[in-house]
Amino acid sequence: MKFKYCVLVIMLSLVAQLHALELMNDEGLEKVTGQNGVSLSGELSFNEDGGPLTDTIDPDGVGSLTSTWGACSDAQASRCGARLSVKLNKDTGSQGWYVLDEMKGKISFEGLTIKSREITATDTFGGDENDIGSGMTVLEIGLPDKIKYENFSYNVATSSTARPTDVGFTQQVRYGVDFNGSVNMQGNMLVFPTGNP
Amino acid sequence: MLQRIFLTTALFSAFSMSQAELADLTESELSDVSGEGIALVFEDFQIEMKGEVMGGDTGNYFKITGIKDSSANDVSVSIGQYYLSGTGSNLGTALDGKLVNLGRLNNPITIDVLDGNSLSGGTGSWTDKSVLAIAMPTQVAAANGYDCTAASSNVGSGTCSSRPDNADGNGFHGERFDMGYRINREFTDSTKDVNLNFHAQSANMDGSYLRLWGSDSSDSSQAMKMEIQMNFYANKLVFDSCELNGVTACGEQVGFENFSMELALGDAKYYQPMTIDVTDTGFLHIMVQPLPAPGDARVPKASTGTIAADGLEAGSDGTSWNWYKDYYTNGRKTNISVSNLTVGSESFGSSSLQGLQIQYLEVTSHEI
Repeated sequence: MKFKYCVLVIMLSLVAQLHALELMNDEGLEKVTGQNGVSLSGELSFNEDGGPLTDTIDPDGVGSLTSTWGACSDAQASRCGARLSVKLNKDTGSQGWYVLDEMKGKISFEGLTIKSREITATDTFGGDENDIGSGMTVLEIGLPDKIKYENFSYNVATSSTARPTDVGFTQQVRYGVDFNGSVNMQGNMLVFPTGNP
Repeated sequence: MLQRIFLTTALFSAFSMSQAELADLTESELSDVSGEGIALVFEDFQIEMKGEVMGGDTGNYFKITGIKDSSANDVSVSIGQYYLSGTGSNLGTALDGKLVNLGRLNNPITIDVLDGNSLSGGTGSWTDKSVLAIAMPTQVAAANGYDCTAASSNVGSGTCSSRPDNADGNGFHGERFDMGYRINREFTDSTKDVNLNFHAQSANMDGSYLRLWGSDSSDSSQAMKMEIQMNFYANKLVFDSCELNGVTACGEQVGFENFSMELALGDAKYYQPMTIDVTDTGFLHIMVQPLPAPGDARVPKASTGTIAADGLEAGSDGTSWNWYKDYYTNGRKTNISVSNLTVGSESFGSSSLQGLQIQYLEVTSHEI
């Protein structure tokens, strides 16, 4: 019973605090400025700590393969990493798949910013700022200074089936990418609406 | 119970506060709103990746894998340097402060959905389809544009909307970019390693686009359809080969001055979209669909749709005959030209390829 009173008192005090909120008038609102924009950093990693591998481990030698926990660097992993399969044909067309296969490693970036910006006469667009641009509000995405790849790799392939475990699987690797190190960038990407669909 | 009362009160107070700020749009305000695509402009842009072998950070490497030599050993293709910057980068060696805008505020890069019926007068393989279009800045009337390949020019000199450095003396770095690769091919036998460098100076891709649309059950191919216009203009393309650091002991430079490439792949108006798909057995299959034969249901005709054996309009179905004439006159064509080919200090003059039309193309990859 005492506990209930306690809850009641806390709630009443919360309601009392809510009373402190009041509608702002237009003059009051005009004086409020918000910090415009956000800054983001991010990291994307595949299989960093390993995962279940079903591959060449066949303990009794009679065919059924066993899953083991391991990292892509482990010797038994002839295939490892994330796989993305896409088919753009209808079911009546040819049945092959585009594949991004064996994606592994890490990508990270720092200092991506997003904010809204009004183009004004003080901006430098070689005269375009005074032409169509003046007064236009755009979304400004400040590109990160560095995009860092850590042993990031994937293969671009074409495949007969979506999964390597499907019946009739064959796959042709077109090329692969293996990146380690930083890509330096500068500049902004401005996004705004256009066109007449 | 008390909780419910409290919650309801809080919700009502929240609603009443926010709703007061919403107001109806008037008719005149609404008429200013239109459905739009997305426009992109890269402002003061530069990107560079550099491998350790060419002076990048320790441990940096950027490799393209999956290539084998004749003995089935892996060949590593490593990108020693890739850059895209403003002009005046001296083949990528002086990138500081060399910035570029890609796209203009009044002529940006666009991602848009187009109405297939409004493209090419409502005929062709995109009839009654939505078309996803990704386009670089467009070409403009010669009175408003700039010469596509000149390193410096003023307004009224050509059809490209991207401006060179300091166009009309505006002191602005413009929308033309320097771009280049320094690539090393590394073999198992390292004595065979090769360096190859490619640079484009004061380049732009105005007028390029990629248009994608789907197929329906009546189409002969069910693959995704596309039409590609790939334009690449550069004041100069430079190829050379050096030591593996990409800069010392370089051989003679091969240069293509005033390089202009307008590659047209697919022509939807004449039922020739390009398709890329993967066969049932996992091989890549690229097609530019064949031009419809006389009599084909898609070719307009007055009666029989036949073309006379002598090929003359007299004796042929006039409507069909004129449709083919229009295809050869106005169909999409590929043009490539170079004003001067140079090797070292030798000049080999100009060369060009004009008006190439693809009537049928089919490529399928095979295992080797």
